[in-house]
Amino acid sequence: MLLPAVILVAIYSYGPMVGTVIAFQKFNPTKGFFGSPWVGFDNFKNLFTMPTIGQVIYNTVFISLCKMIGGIVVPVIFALLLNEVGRLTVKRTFQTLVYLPHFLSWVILAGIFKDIFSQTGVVNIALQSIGIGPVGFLSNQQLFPFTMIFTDIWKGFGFGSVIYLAALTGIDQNLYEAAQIDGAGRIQQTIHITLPGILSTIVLMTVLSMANILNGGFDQIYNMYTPAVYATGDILDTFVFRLGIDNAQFALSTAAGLFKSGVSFVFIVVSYWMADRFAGYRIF
Amino acid sequence: MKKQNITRILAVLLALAMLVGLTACSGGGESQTSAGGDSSTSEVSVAENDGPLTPYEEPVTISWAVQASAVQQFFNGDTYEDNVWSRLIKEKLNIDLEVAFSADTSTDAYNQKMNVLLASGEFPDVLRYSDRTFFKQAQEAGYIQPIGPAFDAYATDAVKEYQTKYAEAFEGGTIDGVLYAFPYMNDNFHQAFNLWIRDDWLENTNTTPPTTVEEMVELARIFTEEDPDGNGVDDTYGFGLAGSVVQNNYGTLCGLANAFGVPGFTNTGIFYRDENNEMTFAWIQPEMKEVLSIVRDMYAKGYIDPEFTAQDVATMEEDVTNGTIGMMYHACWGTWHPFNYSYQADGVITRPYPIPTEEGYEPKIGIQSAKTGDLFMIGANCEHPEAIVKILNLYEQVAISSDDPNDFQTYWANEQYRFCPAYIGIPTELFAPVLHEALEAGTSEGLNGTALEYYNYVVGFEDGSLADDTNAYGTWGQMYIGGQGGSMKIDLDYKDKGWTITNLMENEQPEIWMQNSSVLGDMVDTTFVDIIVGNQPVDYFDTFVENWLNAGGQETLDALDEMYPAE
Repeated sequence: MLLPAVILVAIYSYGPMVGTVIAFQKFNPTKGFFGSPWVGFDNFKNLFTMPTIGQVIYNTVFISLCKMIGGIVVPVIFALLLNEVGRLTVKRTFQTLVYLPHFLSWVILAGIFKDIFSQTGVVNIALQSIGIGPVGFLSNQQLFPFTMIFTDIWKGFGFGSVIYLAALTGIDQNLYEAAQIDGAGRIQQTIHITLPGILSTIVLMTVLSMANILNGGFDQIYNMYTPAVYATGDILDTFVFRLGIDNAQFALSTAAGLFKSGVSFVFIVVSYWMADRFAGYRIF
Repeated sequence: MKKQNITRILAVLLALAMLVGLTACSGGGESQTSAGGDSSTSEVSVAENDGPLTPYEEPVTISWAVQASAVQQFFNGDTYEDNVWSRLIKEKLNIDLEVAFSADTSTDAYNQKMNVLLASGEFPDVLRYSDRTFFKQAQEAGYIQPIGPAFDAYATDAVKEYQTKYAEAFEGGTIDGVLYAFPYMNDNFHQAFNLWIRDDWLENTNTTPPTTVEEMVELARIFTEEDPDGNGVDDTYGFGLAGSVVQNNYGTLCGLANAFGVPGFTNTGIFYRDENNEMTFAWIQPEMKEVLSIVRDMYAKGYIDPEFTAQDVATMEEDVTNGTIGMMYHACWGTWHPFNYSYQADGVITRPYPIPTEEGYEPKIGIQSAKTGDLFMIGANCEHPEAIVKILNLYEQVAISSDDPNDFQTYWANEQYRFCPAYIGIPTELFAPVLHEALEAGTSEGLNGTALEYYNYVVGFEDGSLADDTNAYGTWGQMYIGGQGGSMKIDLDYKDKGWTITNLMENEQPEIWMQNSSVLGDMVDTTFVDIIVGNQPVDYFDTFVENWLNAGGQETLDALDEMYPAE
């Protein structure tokens, strides 16, 4: 039963890995993997001497860290709030509504966000009516990363909260009854029963997301950035894309991709160890 | 126990998978290299019953790469698959055209498709592309075949004439003495920038076109502040600029830089020798500081859209159509695009003027060498390269030298010529000298084909009989001769004044440049925008120059110095 899945993974995930050899070649697409000359670590050397690479890595880590933190805090809070809602229909409606953006592609959302965050968009009109702005959410270098972080969290928090809502249903209702008898209020119940109850899930989600440390969100940023915000918005993936596809520097961009995979691999190993240590979660 | 078993099975499976992956890839590698062998350059002989325009007895299929574009117009339900040209070619030559793929050239899609093509090696029978690295790599790998033998054997005399007339362009399609591609005819004097201004705004504000940079800035102020469209709302900008400030043909600051003797165009051009005969790059000239501070000032004063950094040429088109921009730098084809939109929408005429100059500076206008430009290449797997030459012959007969004006209307006008998989691309601009003479003399005598059509467009637009024809407006904007004249008269004048500088970097590019041009180009884009919007002081330009030189710029200049030695 496992075989079809393994074959698919082999063809589409493991097969292409052979291609990473071009990170160590002076790759000429017409000569292929085996005809191109080997150059050792030259591509990596070139990559890390590029003047903007430091900034690009910083941007990537900053944006993805903020997205990770926000992507845990916001869904947890939302799940807790939703859990307090008594009426089932209201609860279901909200859950569905916030879940919807998850299914929209960034290509579509980018168009929508460009419109509502522009200088003449609804957000700025609203801000101006209370005397602020106009604010260049997408053109201001300082703001751009936060616009990315905000919109990403907005898109994903509904999806994230589903997991926490599921964890919440697993908490023993007797605990709440006992706490009520002891005189604990709603907030105390949340702090002493609910949060500890879903803590292992939170820890698990956190460590699992750590492997994404160098994933700033290509499709989101590629669709919304401009040269004006390269300084703070250019991430490894967009950088590699401009290098590789726009400028045909395949070897250099593969080197960057391999570097990214290397870092992610380390983080996956560490997070797996941490998941086991702190949340008792094991795959094998 | 069970867990361990699963791990073991997985490990074995993965090892197997990797082996499969390896063999699959090595197979691909072999087939890639084997394609290189047979680039025969032998003579092609023409069969007795075959000629330049003889139809095939059995239908022949030719696949081509479509350069899709927003400017393409479709009539009577035509598509890229079925259109005036595909039907004509089928009828006259019995060739079936087949679209191999289509990708948009207004965006990066086509370039990306080309790079992917190079990796896969699945070339269509004909494709059009300008990138010389691509051309060379495709030739080395044997993905394309020489067109020379078929051309010599099958081209009509009229088509062969181009080879002598535009020898330099043909040289650009030649590798090691063999013609590998049919080029676009080039003489790039017309790549220069003009300043385009709306007639009605000049009239409404009672102003005259600027001749100096100072006057230009003042006009931008008036267009911004004095309600040039007379609608009582402060909704206009004087100067049109897009987020990539040097990258596009319109909405750039290139024309302004030209006035200060900086011949730059796009973030990767232009390389030239300065007055000391030293190899240098346009955007690192110290004069750029003045240029940037002028634009920075215009931005601070609100003559430029505060959010121009988030704009691309598509949003600029909207601004032009909505009539919110009064003036911008553009190459010679403004009346074809995008000012045709405002003409169609409101009947507004936007016309070109020579770039305003600055006292104490001689303008320098950067253009590309005639050896660069688009090429039509023939895929190695094309079994009938002569079919493509036949298509070129047919094109020449129908779209260029036909005496029937209907042919021209049907097969050339309204971008219809783009439907032909291989055509003789003669930029409109190259007809300018002949047309100017005829317009001066006031007679179309001696003109035929394309030139005659252009003549009729200009005359028809001026006397109002063709006022509704956007082709007439487009041609008129380039060719008319009254006053300062259309863009061609202006551009030829630049050339006469000796302002044009040809990019020294032709088809051969230094290794270091190919590797670093993306990053160096980013530096140009981001630095200029940062200075304009005030994120960095103007003096930051000095740091930029240093960074640019250190990040591979100096090495590129040194390499170019050797590659293209001083004469």
